[in-house]
Amino acid sequence: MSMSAEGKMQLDRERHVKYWKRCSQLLPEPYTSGEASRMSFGFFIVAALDLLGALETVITPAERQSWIEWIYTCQVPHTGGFRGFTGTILGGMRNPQNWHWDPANLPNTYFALATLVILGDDLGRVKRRECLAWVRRLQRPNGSFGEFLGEDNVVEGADDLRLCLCAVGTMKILQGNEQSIEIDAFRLRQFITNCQSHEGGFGQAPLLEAHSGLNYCAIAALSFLGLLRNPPESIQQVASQAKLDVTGCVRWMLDRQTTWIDGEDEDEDEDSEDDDERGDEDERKEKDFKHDEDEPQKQPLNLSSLRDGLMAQEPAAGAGFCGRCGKMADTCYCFWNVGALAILQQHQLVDIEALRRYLLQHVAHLIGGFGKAPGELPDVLHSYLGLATLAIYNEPGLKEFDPTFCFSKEAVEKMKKASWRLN
Amino acid sequence: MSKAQPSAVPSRPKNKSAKKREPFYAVSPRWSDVSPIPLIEGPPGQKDPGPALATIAYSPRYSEAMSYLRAVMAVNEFSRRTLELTEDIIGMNPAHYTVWLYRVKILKALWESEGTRTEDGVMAELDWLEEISERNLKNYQIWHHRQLLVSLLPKLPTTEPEFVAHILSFDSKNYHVWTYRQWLCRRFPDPLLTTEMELQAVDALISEDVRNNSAWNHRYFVCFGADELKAIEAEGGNRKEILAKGGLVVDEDLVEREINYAKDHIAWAPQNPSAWNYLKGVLQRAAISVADMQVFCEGFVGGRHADLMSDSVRSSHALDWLADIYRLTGHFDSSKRCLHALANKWDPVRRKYWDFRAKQVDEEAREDQ
Repeated sequence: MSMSAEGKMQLDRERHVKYWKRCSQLLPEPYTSGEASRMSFGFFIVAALDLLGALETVITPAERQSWIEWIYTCQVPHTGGFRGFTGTILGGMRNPQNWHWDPANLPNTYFALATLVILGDDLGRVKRRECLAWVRRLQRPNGSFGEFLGEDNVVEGADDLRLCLCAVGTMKILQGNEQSIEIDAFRLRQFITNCQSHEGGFGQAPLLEAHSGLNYCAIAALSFLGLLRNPPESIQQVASQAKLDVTGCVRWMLDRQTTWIDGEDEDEDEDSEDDDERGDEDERKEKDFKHDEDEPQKQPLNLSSLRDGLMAQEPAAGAGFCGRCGKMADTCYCFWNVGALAILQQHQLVDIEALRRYLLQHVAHLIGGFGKAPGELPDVLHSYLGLATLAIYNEPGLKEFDPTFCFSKEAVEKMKKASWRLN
Repeated sequence: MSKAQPSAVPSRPKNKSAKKREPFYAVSPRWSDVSPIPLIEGPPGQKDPGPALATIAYSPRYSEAMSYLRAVMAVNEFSRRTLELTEDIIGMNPAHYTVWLYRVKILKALWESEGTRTEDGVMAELDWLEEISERNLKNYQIWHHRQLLVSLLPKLPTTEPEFVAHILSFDSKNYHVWTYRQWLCRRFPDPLLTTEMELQAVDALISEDVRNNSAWNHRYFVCFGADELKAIEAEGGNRKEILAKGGLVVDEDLVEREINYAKDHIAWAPQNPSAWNYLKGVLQRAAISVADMQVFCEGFVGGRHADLMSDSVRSSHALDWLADIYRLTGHFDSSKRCLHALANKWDPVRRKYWDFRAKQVDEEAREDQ
């Protein structure tokens, strides 16, 4: 499992570059079931190569230009937003009676614009005004955003925090010098705040269970709302206007760090070299805590954090993050928690070494990339978010990372080149 | 169109790898009148657009089905054969965002042309959806589709709670299912919330797995959240402000019942964070101070003067609460002892956090002097 067996724990950059180069050429057939988010796959590929500093070295200028052309092919003419995939394009048959089957899609629009920015495009061909107007039309009376416009411009899709994030992210990328925010920012902020659950984290909608992915969306959306103001406001200012319980949220995110890692309970003895040091006392403590063993339940007891307590001086196992209370570690949740913590500038409170160990020794795959859990094959989402997490802690071999935009700071700087900002 | 009745249609190929290479629509007489629209992967009019981004190795079967889907969507055909085509596509790409809307439109057209009552049509579609749902537990569109269908019914179908329970038996923490379940309660408060029905169902799930945090969250929704949502929607306000204003009636019997429920479950499994979080939520809602829980919490650490580094500690959560309670009541040293034990023995993964809290206690103690 641990690829750097000699205990030298570092990112095998070359292996990751190879993985992403392969992904950039062809994604295997199982990605078909997620094809509706193909633009996000493109974003992960381009953003990962950029983060690794390999976009210019392993991808030719012709290929990069061709990708830019493909993204523009996905721009939907009358709305200015972008499709998630080319599979809905009706070609010469397209007309106002059928174009609602081939709509622009909000999350994919953010991914398309971000990818263009990272590729160095000046966004000169983006139908900016149409796109901004289209984003505004997606806002619902409760402040949240829909995913796309259906027949008769009905707002379709869920109203959840993912879409709120993509809406303000899109607006930020497209913001010109002159612009004031023309969405109802007050109601959006209120919707976001109302999604904070009694646990401290945010759920998909008010009163739903706190979930790290959606929690990241809430924090990043508020961060974008601050950036959209002229002059920009800090996340702390926005959070206080929104009456957010920041302390409770930070606490909830830190609670998600866990040594409970899938599939490792059985072979723990094999990979833990510090076993001898644990001694009988650990075993005894573990038994003491198991006094609630008799209760009827299906899930294994999560005693790992307590068990580790006795080797506190040097934790042997890695510790990843889970997405909800009582769940196991998963690579993507490392980012969803740490990314949001970084936006709030609280990411130093994490056990960083245990997190690096989880990523580099437990879920980094031999073929490059990161799996969701140990032994799992890598996929583009988990592989990108694994890199992003490491980049937040300035891992050597990776560029600096912007946790709100979710790509490199260098690429965020490139946004200033957008054609309408130059005038 | 062919005269073939639905029953006479040869069974459509299932999405098995052996079949993935064989054309189906191109050789079917039922589809001979349709000209498929090929995939466009680059700027219009360009002969060789160069490599596309994130190219996927589609199976020929998928590519073929998609080209027929584009063709029938383009002419807004709403028929039996298009309904079957949507099923084929959904089997391969369930996240396709417009195929589901297209399917709804087809269904409504068929119900009208075939004289099917909406209720009957919905129930038949729900049957069809059941199998797909079991195969795609993590898909959002399926639940959205279900919600759309059930919203067409005037009354809660008696089969619906059973179905939700059935799906949760595969994955008791499935986020989509819990989201749908909450919607269902709001759509049909009678009988789900006006009777003990939902409360009993959630109690059964907590008894089965006391660590099912989704079930605990749903319990909060059933007991308190449904009212909060109503207030948010009626006043269009901020939930925290509404709660702080005391704008919601707090039923003291209910609060007492739920505090006891949480305490019983904590006693049963003191290291279960879900029950502790629930207790915190109920206290906040009822504006009861955590300091009222001091004796209860001390019961899990061996009492007020116990050695917190010893085996008398049975719950790290109790230590965490006590750290707060002692700070609030001005017992700063006791508070720091709890945090020290957490950082150095019981929860070292969060050591930096516990140390940070200890520093805050120091500051507060200094200000207090």
